[in-house]
Amino acid sequence: MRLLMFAVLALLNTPTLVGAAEKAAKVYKFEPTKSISMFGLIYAVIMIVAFLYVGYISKKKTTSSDDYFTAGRGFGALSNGLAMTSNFLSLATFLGFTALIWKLQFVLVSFIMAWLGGFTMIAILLAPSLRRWGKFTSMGFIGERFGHVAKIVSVVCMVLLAQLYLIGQMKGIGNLFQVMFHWDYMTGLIVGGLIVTAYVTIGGMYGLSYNQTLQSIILMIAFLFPTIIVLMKLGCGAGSLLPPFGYSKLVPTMIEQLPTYFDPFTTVMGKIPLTFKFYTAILFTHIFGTIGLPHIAMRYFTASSVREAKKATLWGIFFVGFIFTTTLTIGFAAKLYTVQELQGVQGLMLNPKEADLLVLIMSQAFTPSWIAALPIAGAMAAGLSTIAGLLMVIGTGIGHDIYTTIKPNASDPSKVKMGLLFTALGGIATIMLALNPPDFLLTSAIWAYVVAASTFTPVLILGIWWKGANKIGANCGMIVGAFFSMMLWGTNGKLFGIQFVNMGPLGYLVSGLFTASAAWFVMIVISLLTGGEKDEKVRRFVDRIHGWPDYCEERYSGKTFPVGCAVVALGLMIWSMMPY
Amino acid sequence: MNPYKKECRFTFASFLVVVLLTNIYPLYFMFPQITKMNILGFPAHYFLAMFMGWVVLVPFFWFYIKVSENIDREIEDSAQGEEK
Repeated sequence: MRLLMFAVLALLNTPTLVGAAEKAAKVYKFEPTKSISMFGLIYAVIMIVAFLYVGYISKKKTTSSDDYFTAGRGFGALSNGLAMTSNFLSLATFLGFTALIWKLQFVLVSFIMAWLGGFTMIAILLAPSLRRWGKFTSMGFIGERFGHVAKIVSVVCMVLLAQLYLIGQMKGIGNLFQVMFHWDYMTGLIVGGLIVTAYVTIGGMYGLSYNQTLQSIILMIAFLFPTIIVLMKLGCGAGSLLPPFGYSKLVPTMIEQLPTYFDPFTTVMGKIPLTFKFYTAILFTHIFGTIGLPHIAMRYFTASSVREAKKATLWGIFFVGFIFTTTLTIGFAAKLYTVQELQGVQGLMLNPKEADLLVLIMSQAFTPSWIAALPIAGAMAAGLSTIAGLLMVIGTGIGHDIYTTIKPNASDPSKVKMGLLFTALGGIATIMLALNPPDFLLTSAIWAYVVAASTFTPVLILGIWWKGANKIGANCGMIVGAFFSMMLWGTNGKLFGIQFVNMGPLGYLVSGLFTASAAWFVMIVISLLTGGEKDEKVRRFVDRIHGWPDYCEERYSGKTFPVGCAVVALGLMIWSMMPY
Repeated sequence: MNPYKKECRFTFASFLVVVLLTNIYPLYFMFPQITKMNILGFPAHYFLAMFMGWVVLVPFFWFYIKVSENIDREIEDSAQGEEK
């Protein structure tokens, strides 16, 4: 997600948007004080020791592949909810969101709420059935439902998506160490990368889950305390104690300083219009993109039961929502501070590249050093938890799902060894790639969200809710979704030289509207044209994952759902091709 | 109503509710005057987006768990004896 933030910022940072006056103004440069760096280093060392220790003690609990890949399926609701929270939130939440609020203002509310909607939707549409199925990953499910070819296609998509995210997170950790501790980028990257690779590889899903629970608590403390103090210093009084809704006293000042801040019909300080189609595209790309991310769905396999998985989501919604809305608060305060204090009083312009550091800038400006250093710990925890979740899904996807396809009779210890090997290799490969991250990285991260919505999401939802979805339909849907996602992004909406999708500003969202709809449409139409799924074993499988003790041919076989979805998808495809 | 229909309809209804709670933007376009109003000191559309998308979503999901658990129980208890 962090990359997504940077990418949008990069997209918006065009010469037309940066006025000549801004270029001429003095630029503010963030420099952490020595005491903040020292406290940050102390927090970082304590956390690293704790994470490695948790990984080490978790190793003792791992005696089977079930333990290694799903933490023995014994995780309680609260712990799992906390782990889901840190797994879902990344460096973007800590640093990138604030930067985007600074740049885009109101529309970020829609981004954030759509992500929270996607997180909730996983629990409604997918998680209960995936948990009843009882294996390890979304790719494994796709393999069992749609066959080996679909499994291999989905693993390839997963590795690509996971790597794109991982490189960004690793790069973020390297940058954080660089700015805060004055280490060189390579040292920070290697230290951070090796630590997280070590504790995930050693501790497997147990180590990952316990650490993600711990990281979630760190993350909340590190975000909450500085925000409360910032609000108090800005004069919010008792409202400061409830950061998500505690800054209404500052609203009139913001409207006076920046009248377009709350305008839902424009963005970038009133410079870019926002249409109904744009908001719809946010809905589709962010909700359906989140549903399709395999490392988020993977946490549901660790729950002790379907009921515990749902309860964990309830906790997750509460914690994720709390942090998201607190992000809006600190973003609001940061925008007000830069407009009122930096620009108004000091005559300084914030370099857009420095916007990622706004949480740290605000903490340093308003809180004592030992509090101001907390966001360093929070950002590290957020980054490492997401890296760990992605490494685990790579290790399980290749080390288990692909390995057991090649060797169906593989022994349990050999599955664990392969999982361990590929988790470690995934970590090392990511460090290597992040040493010299390619330029296309920013745009490809956006592509990752669109691809998730256009490949995993339709296959998972239709695979669970429609018996008629068949192998050829699923494979065609995934391939078409991935193809269009790549083509339209790479050509800025053109196909064979013709402007196929009218992208508009922040075009990836509208392109996602088209590509996700195309995948749904193709998968449904081809499944229907080829007679649907006829294998009774597969059809029985669909009943079983819904909890039915018996089999009934008519269940999940109706045409209303798939035909309705295909019609909506076709309508959305046509709409996305119309002028923005 | 049989548990199968309950499951499908309730899941679809929950899907729609979550979409509407977390994406209230149609309100801005249908009732633009909402953007000129205030709730608890915030612009109404800003407050409602956060309130509906998080504060209301939590109890709704709690309600979803309660109802879906009942449906799951009915499904588990619904062995029809004879497979079709």
